[in-house]
Amino acid sequence: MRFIGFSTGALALGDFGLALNMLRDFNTKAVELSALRDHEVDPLMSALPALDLHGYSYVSVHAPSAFKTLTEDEVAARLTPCIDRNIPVVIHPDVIQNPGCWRRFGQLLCVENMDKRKRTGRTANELEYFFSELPEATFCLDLGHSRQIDSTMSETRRILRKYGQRLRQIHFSEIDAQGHHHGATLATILTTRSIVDLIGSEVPVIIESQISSSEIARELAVVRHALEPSTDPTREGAIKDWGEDYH
Amino acid sequence: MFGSLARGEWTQGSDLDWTLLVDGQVVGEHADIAHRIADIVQGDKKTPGPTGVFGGLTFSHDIVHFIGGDDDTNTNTTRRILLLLESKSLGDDTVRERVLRAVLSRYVGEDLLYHEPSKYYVPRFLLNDYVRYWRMMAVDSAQKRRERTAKWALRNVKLRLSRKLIFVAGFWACLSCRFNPSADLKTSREKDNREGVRADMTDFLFSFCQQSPLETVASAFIRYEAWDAAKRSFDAYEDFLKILDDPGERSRLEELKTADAMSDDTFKRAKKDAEEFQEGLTKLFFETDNALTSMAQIAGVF
Repeated sequence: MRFIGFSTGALALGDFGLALNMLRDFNTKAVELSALRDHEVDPLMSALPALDLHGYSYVSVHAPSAFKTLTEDEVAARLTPCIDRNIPVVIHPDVIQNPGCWRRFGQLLCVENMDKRKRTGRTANELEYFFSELPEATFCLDLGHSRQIDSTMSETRRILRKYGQRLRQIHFSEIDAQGHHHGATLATILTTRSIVDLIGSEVPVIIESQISSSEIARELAVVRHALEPSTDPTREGAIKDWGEDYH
Repeated sequence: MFGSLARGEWTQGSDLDWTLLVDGQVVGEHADIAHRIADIVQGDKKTPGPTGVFGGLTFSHDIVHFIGGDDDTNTNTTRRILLLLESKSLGDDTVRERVLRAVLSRYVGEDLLYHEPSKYYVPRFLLNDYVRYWRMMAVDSAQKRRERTAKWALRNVKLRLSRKLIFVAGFWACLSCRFNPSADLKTSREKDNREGVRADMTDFLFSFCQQSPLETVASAFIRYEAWDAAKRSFDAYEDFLKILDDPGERSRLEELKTADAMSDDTFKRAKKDAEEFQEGLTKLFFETDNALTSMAQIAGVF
């Protein structure tokens, strides 16, 4: 059974407590606690011991996407409580300047593929450096980002072929041209279904769609549908193999 | 950019065919940018040809969504096929690559709705579009000959050499999916994986968009070790480029009247080059390998 949940930052930016309250009635089994801005790290780490996360089968933390008030080393140090709690830490590779300070996280460090606004980490080739520097790191596949880079999903397939064994979690959303996350449209559903065969059912999914509480139920249903195994149109009988008059 | 500069065959008299490829949200300033580019190109006296296909904006949605049918105008087809067969980005290739992958994925993906992945060898939708474009160039050449006799000889020579070259490159790219596929494509086929074949054939076909048509056609000769045929075609093509690179010879072809062509030494030389070029291709596709010949006959004719 696949665990599906939300990023707290998508539901309530900077207020993980509010986001967790919003999710209370939905029985979601996965959650990503966001500290997307570095000043949010300390409050989250302080609150972590007391947060009621018992209903969740999968919990991760999203590290800051930029280091403005803290250095990279300081952020890494402040996130070490995640190691004791066996909580994966999702990180944007473009902020990694000192891989050494992240090695202590081992498999708990989860490198995410980037969108077109970023200078690196967007493709299978660009991710190679980070996994060579962080050989134990796992991988967070951001489907919105990879689809933005290549809407045919060929790059996504390439990424999964190369790093599928490291796959720890999925980020799911629709990204617009400005890199903002939205609720999924039919186009996103269709492209997701085209690569579902490469994603094991045990991989948790974190929804990053920036939606209101009234849209949570719908978004969960949409994501569940998007991640169902793809139905082969020819096996449905709707389209027959026309055959080839040559081979 | 397109044409001889994109193909790596730039000569002294070459003009600059370009377009501003837009893939994304509407931005009014794109038109201003296109005008500025046009001014720069005009300043260098390398303006694109007079057909209006180049020298302005091209929108990815038209290229990807209008394939065949009334919306696929002559201009749209030309832009799409030349984007596939002879284009290069000036600078960052991100947009061009994204659009090309979307186009190729459409050709391949739609074909795959009607074929078992394990039996999908040649992208017929794409191949048919390449063949259609080649025939369209030939027919348009006849029409231009009727409308304007200026530069007829140069256009005729280009049709039989550089235009034919890009068609053959596209043709071989499609046949390569059968005769020389990538390892990933072979594996996806063996696994009968529809999405895998779509992605891998798209990748494979895209790889041809990243090399010159000469390199692609050379790979065909190499694949079949057709060295004599290769020498005939490439020696002829090299001589053709020498003619174009000689200002005197080039202007002679530009100014030649149809009635004088058959007695003109430069035109006769270029005509001989065209015949030799074709002879090499004929030997490759029809006198080298039975399976290749069979496929070329079926796919190229029907």
